[in-house]
Amino acid sequence: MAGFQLFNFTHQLLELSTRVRSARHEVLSANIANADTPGYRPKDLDFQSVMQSAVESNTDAIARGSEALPRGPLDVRSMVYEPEYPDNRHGEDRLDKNSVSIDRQMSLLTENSLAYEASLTLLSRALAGLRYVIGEGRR
Amino acid sequence: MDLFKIFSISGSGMAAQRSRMSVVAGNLANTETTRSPDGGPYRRRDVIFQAVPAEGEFSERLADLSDRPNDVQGVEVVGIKQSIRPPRKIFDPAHPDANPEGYVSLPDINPIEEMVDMLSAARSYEANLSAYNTTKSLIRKILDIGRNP
Amino acid sequence: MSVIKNVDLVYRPETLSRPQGVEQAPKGDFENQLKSALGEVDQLQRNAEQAIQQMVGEGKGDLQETMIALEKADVSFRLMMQIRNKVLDAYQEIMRMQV
Repeated sequence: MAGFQLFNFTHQLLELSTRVRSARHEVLSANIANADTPGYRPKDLDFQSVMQSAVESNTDAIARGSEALPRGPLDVRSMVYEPEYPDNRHGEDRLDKNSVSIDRQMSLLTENSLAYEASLTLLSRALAGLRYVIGEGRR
Repeated sequence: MDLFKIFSISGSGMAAQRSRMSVVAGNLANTETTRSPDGGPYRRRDVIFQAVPAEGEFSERLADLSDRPNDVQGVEVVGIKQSIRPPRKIFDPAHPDANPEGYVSLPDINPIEEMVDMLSAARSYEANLSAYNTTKSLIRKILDIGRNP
Repeated sequence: MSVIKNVDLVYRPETLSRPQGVEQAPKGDFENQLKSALGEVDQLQRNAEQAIQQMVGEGKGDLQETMIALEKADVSFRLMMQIRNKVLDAYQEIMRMQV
């Protein structure tokens, strides 16, 4: 956005983090829906590494000050993986070979939701701050 | 956050667990049923769950699941299977359905097993409901982006 | 918080001294700058409109993307209005000057 950039790196990072959190919420909800599906293995999204690679692959663009982080809908499929939990017996202890632990999924969901709300709040405030500044402090 | 998709995931979980509870209730109601429409004692029923793609469009639901292993998936009851366990035989010559040797074939249903199944289904249902409510509050939060402070 | 370690690499002092909005701005031509800025504001408005149509008309689309698109369109529009007001004020000031 030459000559007209309102949204700095922090804003873009915030926006990206909310999108990744949203995608992860879908994945974790799907695990809970499939808590009793035969053979199903829980999936997750590595939030840290997605953010990391987004920042790393764009450091030059970011340093120049242009909007560089990925725009548009995220490709969730490429970020999803099947985690290895230490106490997980991969469903061997169940007749239906399902390996979802509802308790773990619920606590992951809660953790993700809180972080998601935090990002949303910060993003809201950043935008409100911009509006305030543009209005020269008048409201 | 694709509204339709995310609610359909948790919604499908709840619906599937409700079906499961229905079937378990049916089993519990028929522990002593000696006559069923297909002849013979009632056979224990169980639901068959399958993970299905959570996209909204019908055409995408027909796509082969194995091509998209990492797609976010909801769940669906694809069928109800009947138990192949042999019926319990109780010696009761006075029973109207006793066979010539005096044995009655009763359904092989263990009420305790069914109750545990019911509790598990209820717990899974509540987990899905909780996820659903969390989604609702997240969406309200998203709408707050546009709200002036 | 391993994401934070990369932010240090990015926030080099020289980027701080350069004002945020002036990334290799074309030299001199204010009119062109204004035109391209207007074009971008327009594009943001169109994005927001399209997102709304998709969401309300077809029921598809990501709610979050829509809200953020709306906010960006709103904020950039306000900025443009303020710039326009300032330019008008400056023009009127000049017109009032005694020659």
